[in-house]
Amino acid sequence: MRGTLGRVGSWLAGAVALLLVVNVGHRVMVFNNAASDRERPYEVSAEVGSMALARTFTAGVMSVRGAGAIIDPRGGNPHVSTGVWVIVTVRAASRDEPVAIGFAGLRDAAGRVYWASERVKQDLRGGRTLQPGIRVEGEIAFEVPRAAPSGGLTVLLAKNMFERRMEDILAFKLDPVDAATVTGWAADKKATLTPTKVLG
Amino acid sequence: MATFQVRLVDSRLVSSSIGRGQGDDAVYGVGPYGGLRDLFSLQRVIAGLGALAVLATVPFGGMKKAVDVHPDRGLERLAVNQVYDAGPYKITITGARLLKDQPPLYATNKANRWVIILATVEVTADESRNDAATAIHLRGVAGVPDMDGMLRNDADSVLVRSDLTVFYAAHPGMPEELVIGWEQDSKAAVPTEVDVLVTGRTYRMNTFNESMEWLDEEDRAIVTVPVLDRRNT
Repeated sequence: MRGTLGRVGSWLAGAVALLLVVNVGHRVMVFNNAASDRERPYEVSAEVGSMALARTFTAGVMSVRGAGAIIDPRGGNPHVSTGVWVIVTVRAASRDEPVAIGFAGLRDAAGRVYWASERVKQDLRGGRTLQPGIRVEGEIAFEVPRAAPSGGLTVLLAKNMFERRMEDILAFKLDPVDAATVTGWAADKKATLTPTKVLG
Repeated sequence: MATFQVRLVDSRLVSSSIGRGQGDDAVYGVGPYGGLRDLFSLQRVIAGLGALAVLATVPFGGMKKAVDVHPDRGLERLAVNQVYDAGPYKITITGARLLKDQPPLYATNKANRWVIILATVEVTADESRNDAATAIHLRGVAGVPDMDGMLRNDADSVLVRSDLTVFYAAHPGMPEELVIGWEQDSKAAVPTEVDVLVTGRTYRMNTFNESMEWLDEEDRAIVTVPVLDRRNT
């Protein structure tokens, strides 16, 4: 009996030791939430008005404007925002092979990220395939709370919509916008998005 | 080598079919535990522990399929228009409607009707999310199955109330009113009120990729909502 129980005891001790090693190893790996640092995106910062290079495409933010509602020229209800629309003009081209800008976001001063809206038709984000060396220019629209533009917003552009770990992201910091300007944006209830055009 | 052969005889023949003689312990050299050793072989210990584990379930119904006799257990009961922080979003159920099929709702059967839940969602996480509408489900409504195969029966149509566009994502700090609709079988009874379950998640580390995520989706609250029949307006 002692031999059998001894063997069972040895196995249990081995299993406990194994679990202990795995647990300690896991704690070492996740110490200080290392994954978010280890796999963070590579952010490439650039000024508004200049082009920046990502691994697969090049892009630049040319200008910014705002609105309270966006009208679709094809009809339908006005797209009224509970906050304010921020509309940025983006110029982009692929570098070596056809690629689309899968992710466009606005990051506010608190670090919150707002995805480009799907309520309005905008083909530069996601829908349009960029061709090597052929520059296109179009607008991307975002909805943010009215207080967000005054703290300064950053336009983010990347290839992948969701999987952005260890991926390069272009970042264009917009100048802070005063409250009066945002109120003026919100008063515009008939904005339309400029169709994407080829610059050559 | 000689000792090994003797033990083989012990386990296969002597102890099981012939029985052990008085002087056998001296041969095995195991002292007073010789009989117990046969009784507590490793296989028997494991089988015995397994049997004990099965027996331990008997007071709780044994192998019978578990049935939760208190489906509301653990759910917080909310009032209509009560804001509930469900994890990555605040959710407020503001009303319910019964509508006939009409654009931009498109039923698979034109004769069917729509059970509509009106809700306001606001993302409390630090990034836009596209799963807010899947945090709201109906329960026990005739003509609207709770399950869609192995999965929960998510809404058939989710629209932004202000412009009736298809809802895609809600954004941090921006409450959005939604029209969340389930197609109801036309032969089912007309509901006067419905139970709405609100699902929440917990912000914790994903042990597979070690990133912080909103996980552990579970029903956390229930709202009973009166249904206004608006099929003829």
